Amino acid sequence: MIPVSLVSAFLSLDTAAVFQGLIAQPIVACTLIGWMSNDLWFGLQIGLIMQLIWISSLPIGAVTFPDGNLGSMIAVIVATRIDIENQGFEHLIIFLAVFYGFIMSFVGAHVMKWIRQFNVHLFDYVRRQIAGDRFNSVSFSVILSLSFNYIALFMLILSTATVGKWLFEGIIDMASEQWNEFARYTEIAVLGAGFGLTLTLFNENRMKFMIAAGITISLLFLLI
Amino acid sequence: MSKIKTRDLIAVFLRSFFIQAVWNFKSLTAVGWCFALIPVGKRLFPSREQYRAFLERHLSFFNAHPYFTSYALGIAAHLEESEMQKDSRDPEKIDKIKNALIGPLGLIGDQLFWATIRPAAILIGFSGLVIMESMLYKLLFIPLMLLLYNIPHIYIRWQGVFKGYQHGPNIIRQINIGQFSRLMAIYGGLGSLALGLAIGYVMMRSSMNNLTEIPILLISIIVAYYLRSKKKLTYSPVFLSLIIALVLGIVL
Repeated sequence: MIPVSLVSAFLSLDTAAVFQGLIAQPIVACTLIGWMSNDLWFGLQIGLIMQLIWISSLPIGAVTFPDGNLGSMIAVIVATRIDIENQGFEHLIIFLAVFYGFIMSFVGAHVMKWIRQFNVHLFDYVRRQIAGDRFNSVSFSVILSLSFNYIALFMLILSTATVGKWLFEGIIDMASEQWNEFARYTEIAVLGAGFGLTLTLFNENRMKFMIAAGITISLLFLLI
Repeated sequence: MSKIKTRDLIAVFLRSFFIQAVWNFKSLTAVGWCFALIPVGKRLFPSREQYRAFLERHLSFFNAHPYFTSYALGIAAHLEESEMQKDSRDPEKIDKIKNALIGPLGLIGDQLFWATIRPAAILIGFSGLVIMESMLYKLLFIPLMLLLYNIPHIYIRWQGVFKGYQHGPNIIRQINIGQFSRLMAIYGGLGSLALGLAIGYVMMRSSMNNLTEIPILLISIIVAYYLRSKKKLTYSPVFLSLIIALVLGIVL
């Protein structure tokens, strides 16, 4: 769990702190985590389910938004740690993973607020240091903030993934196979919600036409 | 008198990737901004007093789109250099221009990247991962998605620093959302087509697996679309879809 948490914390920095080149997006990060956990397929599957949920949460301005990338990574770490093939609880695990990922996105947003609050102290520190001619404090504060951010994310991921694994296993142990049947529509329902949320991004008629064209092409292609 | 060199601007470009590293509720991206401009300050201000004044000047509030901030960094470098060459310097001018850039750069960046290129690139990657049968072809869509996003991303950061430095505040007259309309049309078109392809594929695949999945998919789409249109957060549409999935799983 430690190596995958270290990598996930590194990827999470991409969400807002550095670079911002989409490597923290669920389809990238969850696939990588799945590969690291020897379950590439399941990692990809959960990444796909979680991706569209967050696509319409735009990080505009100074708004603190749900950290869907972090939540998805924690969800996939937990899900790939459960031995699904032997247990046959795939639908229930996906249901729990989506639910848990959601809660973690909320927790992640609060951790981000907390880190940004810590950065206020760093900003005050930098101003004081510059007034005293200690100019290296600017670069030092960037390194310190990123290190703090990374350690906080790593500890959050490791602890919540450990708790999540314990919870998932406890629930699966108690649940009968019938519960797995009850959760069999989770994937399609969450994908549908993701599509619905994403559709709100495309309001122009030209884009609506392209969406309709895409649906038609797909249906014709599969029919043929 | 020192002049800013190309390698200083390359250093500013590389440091611009850390612009949000010390994002805080008091000065927003000010520390990252100051960090990015250090190579300029070191080149232009050899005395401690001048360098201190430079750093203090650039620790004031700043926030714009992280990629388009590069234009403001280039403009600030240009202004620092041109102000240094004048007999009567006006450091407040730099602050005023910096503040004037916040709105336009934020607006263009949000519309171009957050609302257009980002969803389009992700949707192209997503549809490829959903539609392709072979795992190898599926996985090829991940680097494709990253390239589709990061080529304009890195280009804007690079172009921003160099064009901003070259033209100074005049560059702002040249940057407007209309300038990117063609790029937005291409990405918007490809993104919406990719979304349509993915929806069609999932519908068709679901009908092959289990016909009951089709109404569940459609109900979830409609409910999420409706709730989002009513400005609800992501949480309620997805929790509702989970409840729908569970209830129908029990009932059917």
